[in-house]
Amino acid sequence: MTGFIVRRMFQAIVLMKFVLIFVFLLLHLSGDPARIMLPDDATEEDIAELRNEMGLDKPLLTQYLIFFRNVLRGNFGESFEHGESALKVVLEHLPATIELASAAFIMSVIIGLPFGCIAALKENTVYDKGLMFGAVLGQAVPDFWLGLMMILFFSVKLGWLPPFGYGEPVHFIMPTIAAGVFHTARLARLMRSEMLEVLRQDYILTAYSKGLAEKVVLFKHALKNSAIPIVTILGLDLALTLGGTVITETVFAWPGVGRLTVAAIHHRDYPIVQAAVFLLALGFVGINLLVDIIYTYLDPRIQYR
Amino acid sequence: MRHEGDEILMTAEEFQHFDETPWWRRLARSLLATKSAMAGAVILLIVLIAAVFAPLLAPLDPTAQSLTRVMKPPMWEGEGHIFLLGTDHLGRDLLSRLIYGARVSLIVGLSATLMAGSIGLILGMMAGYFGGRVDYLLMRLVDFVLSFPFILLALATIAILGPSLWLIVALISFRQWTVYARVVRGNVLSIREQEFVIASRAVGGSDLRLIFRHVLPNVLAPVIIIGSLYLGRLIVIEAGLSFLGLGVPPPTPTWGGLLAEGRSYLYVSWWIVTFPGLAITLTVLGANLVGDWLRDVLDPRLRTR
Amino acid sequence: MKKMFVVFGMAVLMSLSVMSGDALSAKKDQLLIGMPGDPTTFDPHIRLGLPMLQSWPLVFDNILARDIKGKIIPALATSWSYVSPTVLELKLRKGVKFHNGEPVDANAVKYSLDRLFDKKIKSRIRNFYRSVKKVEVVDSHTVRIHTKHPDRYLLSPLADFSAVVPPKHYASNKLKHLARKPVGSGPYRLAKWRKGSEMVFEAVSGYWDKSRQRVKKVIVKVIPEPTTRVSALVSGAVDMIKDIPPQTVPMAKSNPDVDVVAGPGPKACSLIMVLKDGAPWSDVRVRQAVNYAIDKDSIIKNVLQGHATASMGTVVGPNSFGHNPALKPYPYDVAKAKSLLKEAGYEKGFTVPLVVPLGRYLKGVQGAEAIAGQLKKININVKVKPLEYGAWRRNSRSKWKKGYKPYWNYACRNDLALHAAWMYSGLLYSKSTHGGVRSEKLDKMIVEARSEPDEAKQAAKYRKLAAYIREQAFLGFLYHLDEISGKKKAVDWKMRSTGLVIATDAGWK
Repeated sequence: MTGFIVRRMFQAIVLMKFVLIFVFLLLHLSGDPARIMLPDDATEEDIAELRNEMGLDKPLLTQYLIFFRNVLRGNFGESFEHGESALKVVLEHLPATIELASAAFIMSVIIGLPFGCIAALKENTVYDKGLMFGAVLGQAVPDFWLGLMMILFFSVKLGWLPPFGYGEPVHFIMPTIAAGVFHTARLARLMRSEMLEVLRQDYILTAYSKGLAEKVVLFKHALKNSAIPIVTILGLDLALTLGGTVITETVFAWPGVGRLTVAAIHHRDYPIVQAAVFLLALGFVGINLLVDIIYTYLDPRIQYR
Repeated sequence: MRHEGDEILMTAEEFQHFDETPWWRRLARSLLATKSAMAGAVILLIVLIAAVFAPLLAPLDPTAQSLTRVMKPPMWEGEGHIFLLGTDHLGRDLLSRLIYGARVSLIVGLSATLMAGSIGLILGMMAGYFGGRVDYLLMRLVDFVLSFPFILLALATIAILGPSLWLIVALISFRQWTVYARVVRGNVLSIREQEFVIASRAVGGSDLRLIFRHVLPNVLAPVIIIGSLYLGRLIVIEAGLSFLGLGVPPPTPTWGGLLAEGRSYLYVSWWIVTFPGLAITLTVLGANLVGDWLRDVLDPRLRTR
Repeated sequence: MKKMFVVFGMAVLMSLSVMSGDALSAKKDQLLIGMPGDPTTFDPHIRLGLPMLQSWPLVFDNILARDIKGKIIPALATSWSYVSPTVLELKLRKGVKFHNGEPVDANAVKYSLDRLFDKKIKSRIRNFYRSVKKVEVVDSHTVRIHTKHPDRYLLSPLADFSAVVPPKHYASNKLKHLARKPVGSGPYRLAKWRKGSEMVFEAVSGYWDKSRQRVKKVIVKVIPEPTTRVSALVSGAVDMIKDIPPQTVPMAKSNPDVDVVAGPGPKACSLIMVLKDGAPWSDVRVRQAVNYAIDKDSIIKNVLQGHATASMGTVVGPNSFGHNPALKPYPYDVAKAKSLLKEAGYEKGFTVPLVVPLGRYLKGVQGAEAIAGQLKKININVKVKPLEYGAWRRNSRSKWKKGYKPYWNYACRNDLALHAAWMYSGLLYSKSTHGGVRSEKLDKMIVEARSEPDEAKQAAKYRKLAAYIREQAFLGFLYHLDEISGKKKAVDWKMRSTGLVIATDAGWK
C-alpha cells in the first residue's frame, strides 16, 4: 500500500512539473511579454530594458530553466503592480479563498448529502420531487446573480446581513451560499442516485426481508457502500471550489486570491497570475493525493495500479 | 488517481437490450410516457426553434437601438408600446435579444458539448481499449487539465488573445472533455473483457473494426447523457465569464451577457435581468429533465454528474 | 431527519444574531469609506493610479496641494515663484516633522524629487518631471527646481504627486518594505492594511493643518463590484462611497439617509479617429460631419442617465488650466452632416471599426454602441469592437504600423493634472500612445504653449489651440462624465473638481 502512495506522489510531482511548464508558457502566449506589461507611455528603451531585466532576450529553454530554478526557491518574481514578491502577495490572499472554499464545501456536504439521502429514501414522493427540483434550480442559477439578489434582499431590503466584509462569522453566510449552491445541488443529486443504487442491491433487500430495523440497514450498509464514490467526488469538488470562488469573491469584495488574480490579469501582472495558478493547481493535486490515501483506507480491496 | 469514471462499469446483460427494438422507437415511446421528460423536451424544442429561426421569430432587430425608448417595461405593465418584454438601456427589444441570445447561448452550449464529447469519446476509448501506457498517459493528461483553476486560466487566455465566441467554446471544451473521457474509459474497460470482444479478437478482428462494431455503440449512451446534463452548466459558465467582463463580447446577445450587463439595473428595471435569468434557468431545467430521463432509459446505472 | 432540520435552523439563527451591531454603529470619531480599489503599492514614487492618488495624501504631504476647486495652494511649500523662466523657487514650511521624527526640510524635498530619477525605483511618475534638470538646495528651507525649458505645467505634478519622504528612512530600507509600510509627514499614518480589502488610517498628533484631521480614524473598505458598493452605503455598512453607476442612483436614493453627490468631473470622453492617409476621415469635412451627426444630449440622457455634460468641442474641462470658455459644442444637425459628407464625396458612407476597452470606462461599450446607432443615419457603418483592455492598448500601439487599417477608438481621459498640457499630450500629440493625430503644426503649437513662461500668455495660447482643434475636428467630441459619489446625510463632504475622493475632505456634521 505504501508503494501505491509513493507512486501517486511521484505522479503528482511529475504533474506539477508540467503545470509549471504551462504556467511559464502562459506568459509567452501573446508574443512579447515586456510589451504588454509596460504602461502606455513606456518608450522603446523602457521595453528593451525590461526585456533585458527579465531575461526575455535569452533562448526560451534557458528562460524556463531560470524560471524553474526560481520557483523551486519559492520565487515567482516581483509583482509589477505591488512591488514585492508575487508569492508573498498570493499567499497573503490564499487563506481567505481557502476559508470560503471550505465553507462552501462544508455546506455542500451538510446540506447536499442528507438531502440526497432523504430524496432517495422517499423516492418518487413529493419530498423527492421537490428536493430534486430545487437541486436542478441550484445547478441552473448563475452564482453572481444569486449573490447580488441576496445582497439586495438581505442587506438592502431587510438589513439583516452585511453586504460585504471579511473577518467575522456573519460575513461568511451569503458568500458561502453563493459559492456553494451549485456543488450542494450536484452533491444532493449524486447522493440520491448513489443511494438508490445501493438500496436496490440484493443484500440490502435481503436485510430488509430479514426484518432488520430500517435505520440499521440504511446506516450500516447503504451509507458505507455509497461512501467510496462519494469520497472521490467530494475530493474533486473541494479541489474545484478552490479555483472556482472568483466570482463570489468579486461580488462580495472577498479578499481572496481569485479576485487578486483577476485584477492581475487585467493589469498584465504575470508573476501574480503565475504564482496563483501554480498554487491553486498544487492545492488541487494535493487534495487528490489525500483522497487517494483515504480511498485505500476505505476500500482495502482496491487495485493499486 | 482514481476517477469518477472508474465506478461506472456495465455488464453485457445491460447492453443487450439495445439490440432488440430500434432504439429510437423505444425512446419515443418512453418519452411520451414520461411527463417530466416531455416537459423538458418541449422547453428544449422551443429554445431550439427560437435559436434556429431567430431572424423569423424576433419581432425587431436585436441590435437596433433607439434612445427614445430606453428601459420600457414589459407590455402588460400598460405603457402602450410594442415591446412584449420591454426594452433595455439602449432601447433594444428585450424579446428579440432573448431570441437571438438563445442562438448564441446554444451555439456555446452545443458546440462545446459536441467538441468536448467527441474529444472525450475518442481519447476515452483509446485509453480504455489500448490500456497500458496509452491509458496511463491519457489519464495523467486528464489530471493535468483538471488541476488548473479553470476560470482564472480562461480569463488569462481570453485577456491575452481577446474575447471571442469560439475561443470561449474552445476553452470550455478544453476543460470539459475530461468528464467524458473518464466515463467512456470506464465503460470500455469493462466491455473489453466481455467474451464476444475477446472472441472477436482471437479470430483476428482488427482493432478499428472492434471499436466501431462493439465498443462505440456501447459508450455512446453515457456520452449523450452527460452531454444533456452538462449543457445547461456551460451556459451558466459563459454567464460567469461575461460577469467578469470577458464573455462573448457585445453587442452579440447571449443570455449570460444580458444577465451580466443588466445586473446593475436590478433595482430600476427588473425585467432586464429577470427574463434572461428565467431563460437560463428554464433551459437548464429542460436539459436536466431530458438528461435524467435519458439516463433512466438508456442506462440506469449511470449516475448524475 | 427532523433533528437535522432543527440543527440547521438553529445554526442559521445563531449566525444571524451574531451580525447586527457593527454595521450600524457609526461612531463620530471614525469614518468608513467604500472605494472601488486600493493602491497596489504605498511607495509614492513608483506608479500612479486613482487609488494611489486618493490614499497617499493621507500619509504623505505633497509639496503643493489643491483646494476643492482645483486651485493650487500651499502645502509643504508655503510659497513659490519663478525667479527666472526656468527656475522655480519653493519656500518650505518650518517646524514640520516626518512621523519617524526626521525633519521636513530642503534636503528631504531634494531627496524625494531625485528619488524619482533613481534607476532602481523604475518610476513611472518621472515622466511628469521630464523637464527637470536639477534640484538645488539653497538653504535649509528653500529649494530651487531648475528646468530644461520654461515649464509652468510642473506645478501640476507638484500639487498632485510630489510626496515628500524622510530621506534616512527611505534610503536605508528595502523597497519591498517601503511598498507596504509608508512613512510620511501627512495627517494620518497607515495603521493596518489588508491588501485588496481594508486600509486603516489613524490620525497623528501635532499635524500642522487640523482641518485635514476631521476624524481620528479613517477606514477604507475595498468593494470593487458597484452594486455591492451601493448596497453597502444603502444598508449603512459604510458612511460614504466613491463611484455610483448612474443606473444605480435610484437604488442609492432609496434610503432617505443617503445623499447622492454628483457633479462634473475631469473625465473627457472622445472619439479618436486615427488619421492615416487614405482614411475617409483624413478629410476635415468628414470629421466635422461625424461631430454633427452625434446626438450627445440623447446619449447623455439615455445611456448616462443625465450624468455627463456635452463637450464644448474640447477635451479640456472648465476647471482645467487652458480651458476656452468661448467654444460652443457641435450642434446635432444630421442635414448638415449629410451635406458635408456629400461635399467630401462620401455620400454613400463607409465602414469603420470602433474599438472600445471592456469595463474600463463608465458605459464605454454602451456609449460606443449608441454612437454607432446614430452614425448609421449618415451611412457611416460603425462596427463596435469591444476589446479587453490589454488588447485595446496593443491596438493603440500598432496603429501607425504600415498596413494597419485605420480605425476609431473610444477613449475617456482623466484630467488628473487639471491642465491642457496633460490632455493634449495624451490625445493629440503625435507621440502619445492613444492619440490618432500626427500633425507637425499641432505638435508645434502644443510644445510652444507648454513652454510659454508667462501664465497669461500661456492661457491665451491654449485657448487658441483649443479653437483650432475644435475647428479641425481632430476628435469626435463627446462628453465630460460626472463623478457620482454617495454619503450618509450626516457626513459633511464636498466633491473635488479633480473627482478624487480624499478622506481628509470628509467629516461628521
